[in-house]
Amino acid sequence: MRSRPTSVINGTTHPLPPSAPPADGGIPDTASQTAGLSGRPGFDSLLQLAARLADAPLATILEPDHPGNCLAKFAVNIPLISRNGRHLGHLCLQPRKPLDDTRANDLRLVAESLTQLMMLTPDKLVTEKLNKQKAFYENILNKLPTDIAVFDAEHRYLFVNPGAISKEEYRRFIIGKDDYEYAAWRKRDISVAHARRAKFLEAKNSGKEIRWEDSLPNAQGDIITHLRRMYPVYDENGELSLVIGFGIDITERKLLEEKQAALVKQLSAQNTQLIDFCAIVSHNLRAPLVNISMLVDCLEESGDAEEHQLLISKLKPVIENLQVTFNELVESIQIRQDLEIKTEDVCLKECMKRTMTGLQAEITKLDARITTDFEAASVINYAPQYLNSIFHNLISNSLKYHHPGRRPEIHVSTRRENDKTILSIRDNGLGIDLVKHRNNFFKIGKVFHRHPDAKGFGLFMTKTQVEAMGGRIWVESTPNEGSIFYIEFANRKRQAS
Amino acid sequence: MKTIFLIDDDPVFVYLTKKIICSVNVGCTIREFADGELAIDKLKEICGEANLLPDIIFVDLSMPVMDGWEFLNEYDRLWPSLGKPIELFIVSSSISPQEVERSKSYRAVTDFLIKPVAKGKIAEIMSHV
Repeated sequence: MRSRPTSVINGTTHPLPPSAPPADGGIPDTASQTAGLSGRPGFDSLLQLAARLADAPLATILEPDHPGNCLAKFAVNIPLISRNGRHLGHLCLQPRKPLDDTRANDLRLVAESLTQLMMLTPDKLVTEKLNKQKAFYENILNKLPTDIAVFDAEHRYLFVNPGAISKEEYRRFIIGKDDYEYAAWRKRDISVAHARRAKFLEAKNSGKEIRWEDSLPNAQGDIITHLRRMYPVYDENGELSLVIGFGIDITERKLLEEKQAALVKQLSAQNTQLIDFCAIVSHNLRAPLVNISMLVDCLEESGDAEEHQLLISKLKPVIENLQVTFNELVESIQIRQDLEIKTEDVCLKECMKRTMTGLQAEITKLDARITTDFEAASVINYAPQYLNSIFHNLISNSLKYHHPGRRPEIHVSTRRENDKTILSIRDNGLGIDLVKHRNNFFKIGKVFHRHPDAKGFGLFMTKTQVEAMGGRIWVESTPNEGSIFYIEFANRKRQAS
Repeated sequence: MKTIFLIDDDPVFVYLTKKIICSVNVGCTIREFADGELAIDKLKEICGEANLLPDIIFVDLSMPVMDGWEFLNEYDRLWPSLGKPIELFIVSSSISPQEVERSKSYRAVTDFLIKPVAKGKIAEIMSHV
């Protein structure tokens, strides 16, 4: 038969008359026992007093959430309830005979004293429970695969998880310190501390969550990108109590994003090329075809031999023009499709010499002064035939569109910018109105001057060649003063390694 | 007598077009311009002089120095002040629908003709202008 439980009504305890002792017996016959509270003088004497009052071999306090355990062994349970309603535990006894009202009342007073004592003393049960809870939450924070850091209002660390700092020694050091102290201790670059302080102040001063991405090398030297968030937490008075920062490793996603962005860029470039190509076919191939068909129509209609001769003479240059356009187009497509372009170290001086030899007649005729400065970069790794063609096209352009009022001067030079080489070809020629021609500067068939030899292929081919090698071409120019063409060569050797 | 401006850098096309115009309408003056800029300069020069201004303009799109579009940008600003109704036809070898669509944004453009232009079409234009 089971003991009847104690009831608690409105915070008052009503110990009920005991029933027969449990069959299992085995209860110590003297002294008091407490669950985790023994050894404290106040408790022990109160429990001994309770045992004597109830004429019980044993008085004990059991945890509040184990009443079943208590009921199995004890006949009287007096709940220990604090004034604010917190259930602290049970005073449990097994009296040898039923309790009368006086003893029940005395026991209740003892229970109240025990309650007060438990309220005053941080009992081991509560501490253990709190520790358990703390361990539980810390375990979660520590096992989260993100990095978490919590700061006070002055940017000192209150908490940091192993996701943020893996070594326990470092984690222990950093608590109560800021990034400057940590950087000094670890003998690390202070710039990281500067950057973190700036972000902290941004979050603190704005009072809002901030987000950013940062990329830093890890211990293995791989660049790791984190998406970081930092937000201030305020207490009930509106004072800043904490700033929480956490970061998620998005390196994989970042790499994927970069790959996609590169792919989109490549696709949109190819699409632009396709649109350009359609325009080229429409304008530059269809025009001579139309002329040929019209000339043939005229030939058929005309009966005059002299006119026949005239029409045939007009047919010839049209067919030649068609052939040239066609060949240029085929060549440009070949350049674009040539994925495995053979490159070698090309000496710019040598390349220049070849170009000058090819253009010797024009140079002499115009008395052009050509100077070079390849000090900064004298050799580049490039497809030699492209480089020859680029030099030839740009320098022959400078010669062709020289200013009639002055001696042509052309200066070819290189400079280094970061790890890239930039070639520039500066002339004092006619120049080009870039405001007007900005959008179609390097298009096929685009001609800017009334010159009999202007066909509009040179710059188009040069651009195609430069871009096929991963570089860029652009121009600065003032009409009547001259032009400077710039070519930025991608560093191919570095890419290969 | 009608005046026609033929703005095209292609000498073969200019020669053939002139031949066709002359064959359908003997009494007209044809002025040639190898690019848009030359034509705009001329139009500015004779602005307001109805007897010198053209009745019809044929303009190509692909030209050096100032192409057909650049010419149209200038011409659209110029034509209300010219003081004479002028029919302007784009004559291009382009078959791109985008270009036909784009030409519609210019108030001054009467029509977009794709090369080769049939003799009948030229005769029709000459007769109603």
